[in-house]
Amino acid sequence: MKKMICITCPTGCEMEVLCDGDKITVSGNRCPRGAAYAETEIKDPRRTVTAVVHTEGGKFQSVRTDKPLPRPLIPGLLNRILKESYPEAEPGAVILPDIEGTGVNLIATGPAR
Amino acid sequence: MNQYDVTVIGAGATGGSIAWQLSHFDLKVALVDRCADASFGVSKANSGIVHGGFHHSADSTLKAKLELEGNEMFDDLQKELDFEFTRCGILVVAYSDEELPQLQKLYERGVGNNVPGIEMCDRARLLELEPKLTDSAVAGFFVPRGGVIEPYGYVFSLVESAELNGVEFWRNFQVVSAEKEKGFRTLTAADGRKIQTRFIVNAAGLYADEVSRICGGEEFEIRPRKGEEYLLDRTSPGRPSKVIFPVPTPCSKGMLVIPTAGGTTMIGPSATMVGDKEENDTTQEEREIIFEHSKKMVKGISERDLVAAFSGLRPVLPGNEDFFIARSAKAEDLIQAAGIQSPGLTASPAIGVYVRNILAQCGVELKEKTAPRKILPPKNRARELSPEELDKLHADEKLAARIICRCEFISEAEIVAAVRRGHVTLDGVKFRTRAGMGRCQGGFCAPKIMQIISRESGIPMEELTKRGPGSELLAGRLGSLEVK
Amino acid sequence: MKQLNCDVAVIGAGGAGLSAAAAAAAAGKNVVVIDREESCGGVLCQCIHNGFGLRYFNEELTGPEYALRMERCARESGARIMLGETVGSVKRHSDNTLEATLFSAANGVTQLNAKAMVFATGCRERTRANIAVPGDRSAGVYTAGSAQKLMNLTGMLPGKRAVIVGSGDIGLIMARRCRWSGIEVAAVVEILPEPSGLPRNIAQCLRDFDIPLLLSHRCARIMGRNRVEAVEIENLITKERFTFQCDTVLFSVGLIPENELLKSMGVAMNPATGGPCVDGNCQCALPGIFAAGNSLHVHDLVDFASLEARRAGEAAAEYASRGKLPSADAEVSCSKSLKYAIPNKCVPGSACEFFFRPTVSCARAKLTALADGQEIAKKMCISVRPAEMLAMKAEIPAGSAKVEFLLEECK
Repeated sequence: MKKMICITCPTGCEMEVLCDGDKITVSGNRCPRGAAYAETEIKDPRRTVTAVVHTEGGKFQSVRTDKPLPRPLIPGLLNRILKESYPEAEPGAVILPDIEGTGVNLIATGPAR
Repeated sequence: MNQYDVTVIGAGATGGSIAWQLSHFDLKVALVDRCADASFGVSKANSGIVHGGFHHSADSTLKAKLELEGNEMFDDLQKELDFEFTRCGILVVAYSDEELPQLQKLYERGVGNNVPGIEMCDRARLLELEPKLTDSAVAGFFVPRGGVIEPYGYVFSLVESAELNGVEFWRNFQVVSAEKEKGFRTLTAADGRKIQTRFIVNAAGLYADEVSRICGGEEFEIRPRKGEEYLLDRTSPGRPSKVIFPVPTPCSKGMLVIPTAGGTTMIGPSATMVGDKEENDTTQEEREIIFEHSKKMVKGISERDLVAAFSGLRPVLPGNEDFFIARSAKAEDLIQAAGIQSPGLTASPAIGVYVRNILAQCGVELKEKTAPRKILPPKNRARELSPEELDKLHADEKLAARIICRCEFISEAEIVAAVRRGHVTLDGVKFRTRAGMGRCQGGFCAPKIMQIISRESGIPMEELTKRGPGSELLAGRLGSLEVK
Repeated sequence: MKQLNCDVAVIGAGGAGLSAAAAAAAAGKNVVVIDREESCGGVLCQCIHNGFGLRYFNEELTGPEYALRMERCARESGARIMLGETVGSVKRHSDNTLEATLFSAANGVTQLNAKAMVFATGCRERTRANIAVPGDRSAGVYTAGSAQKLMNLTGMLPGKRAVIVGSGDIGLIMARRCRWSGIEVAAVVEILPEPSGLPRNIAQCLRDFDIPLLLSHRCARIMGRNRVEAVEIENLITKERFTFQCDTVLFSVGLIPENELLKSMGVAMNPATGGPCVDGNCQCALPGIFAAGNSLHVHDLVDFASLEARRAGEAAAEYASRGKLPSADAEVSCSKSLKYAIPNKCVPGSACEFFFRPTVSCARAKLTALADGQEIAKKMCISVRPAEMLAMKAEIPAGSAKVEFLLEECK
């Protein structure tokens, strides 16, 4: 059995996750998103990544992944994007599509400042 | 190599005042300091009191004589140099009957020194003068000509005015040798820069012993005595209208409650001999003692209002309770101004004149400049201007109405002016403008101020410092570290 | 000096101010929002992490996205937003109109006259000095929010190895932000026996990175003559002291509502919140003056601040129309297990939403509302902690004089 805090919303449900082969039983969650999170967290933990990137104009722009990214890919993504400069993008626009073939995109979240 | 008639070592209140005095004459003058800016040594942590002239006897000490003279010089200086200074008056208060004999002695010394307006007060009169005194106040005396000054603001003004009038200020210039050749000294800095000078004034504060040794002057030792100070928010109900002194102890004037010239309240200082001239830390023990003492003196003081804590070091010349200001008996081109601890700030205007006269006796020709004296531009402090005045100023200078430091209400124009005067460290800008000195302690404005310093000085952000080399504020740009 | 007139002036264009402005403008009022920064959003601009918006927009957003959405709401409702304007002072005239003096590079000094004003001025961080940490005055000591601003708005790194003092959400978020920028985090030090931030931030900002969380520990001293070299940490239980080598100390030790303008007007303040005393319409003790968001009381989530501010905006609009609001005659109080209940007064015969901050931690607790001793509402609360606000709606019976809230632990 594994204890886990759901990070899906600020409530932060404390869950207990029981793995029996492929079967995963979750308790302590107050909504179905908790169970879904627990299952992913056991099989393929992912996080939404947020960062600030340099723009070609010498400004900075905040970015995030539009979906959670597999955790092992996060340092590689950050080391790549922090060293690059990108054209200024409208908030919501894709800055880096399909990270490592995951289908997860990096999008701008705010104006360049 | 730059050649000077006189080089003043140490850009604190003493050195700044001497340099400023000399800037009135047809002389080539250098002012050098080991720190990144003026006042960064002893002066910046000064309590900022313009003392009243009753702690020391004017008959037997030079310090009391210069203190009394210096006190009277501040009004004219303020008019010319525009620093924060108020004659709010000083109250020396006895908090128990046991202190009354010492209080009486001090009062009599003040009377003997001809301190203007000195007045013995019973409890009722004390409370009339300062209603915030606690119930334990027994009696005291009032010195109306005492006051408060913003010490770094005063030193910066002296140095800036001296610079404007021809004095060359060398920052980060730590003198390591002073070779003598053909009537000139070559002063070499730790980083290899060299200047030549005919006369040296040693106003090096804590390092006056080292400078004296390097120049072949008297052997003495300066020992640091640390004083911790605690600054309370400008809204603190514990802000008195006058400087409140207790009856002093043998080694210190005691812990005071000070309505600072900048509008805050300061309590302290402590007095502890320390072994290290760079020991500028604060301690929990002293903080507790200072708060305990000051709460006994003035009502409304609370730890809740604490905004900043800092400490400073007094340059003590053991065995000599007086200032040591004289031409060196061992090196004829060296003028000593050492052991300038309290009331050094108060005495500093008079020290400037005194040292100027010593230089004249040494053969330095003091010919008044014929060109009209250059006056520093007005500081245009947003805090002190009315909305109408600020709006008028804005017509010519847009940044005069952009407020960067919200707590102290400091405009971008004030910060830009400070940077353009050479104050390129965060502390330099803070001491020059008060930006970052308020209740948020730069939490909101420090990043903005760093950007302004960088923009105006051309120094990259990652090279900006708090107070000179070694105190870099940042570690580099985003992307310069490997994410693991 | 320029003159500007409006019905409702909102001071602060953050998550609360924009929401208040949107609400007041939607009610047909002429609304002006003032902010000292050059862009809307306040602290949201530097909060580039996700976790905002689930309650207000039903969608998880980052700070800048939340700010943009809220800005659009305000603009679409017709509010005028003036950026780069600092409010220097606020005055109240004898006819109850209000006057703010604004300062900016663009317009110089402007006198803004309004019938009602909403103060949504946010909060500031407690500093090292506020918690009196002794030691050297080294470079490399920042509040967590300052470091966040440096990193996210100026693209600079505050240091290479940090110790974070305080486990509030900003500190936790900054721990992850440091790691995601290549800065080591030696530890997060918390003086209390339990963390101050949300559990999910403990999980995703500390555990994900194996950052130690030292509970019941305090930062006893900062060492480093020029730049920070180490911090001395004290275990408050064993009194043992040890040091961490680091070049940076980030303080995340609480927030203080920023109410210097309200204080200068003599508005009655609430010592429990650090904000003004308000009624159910977020109106202060002086009529026509409203407060919402973190300057009223420090919220856990911007969504709550925006929701609260919406009420303030609606009420300010109503006040601007009618010159008065229903009088809030019922006094609100709470039991010792609650640090405060907001508002401090409410209007009998109407519904009101209350916010609370508990002083206790427990798995389950019952929150009860009493009007003149009669129960009027109750609610079960799960995993109650001082770090998390509680909320409750109650219908206040007409004629009530006293409303009291009780929080009782359920075994």
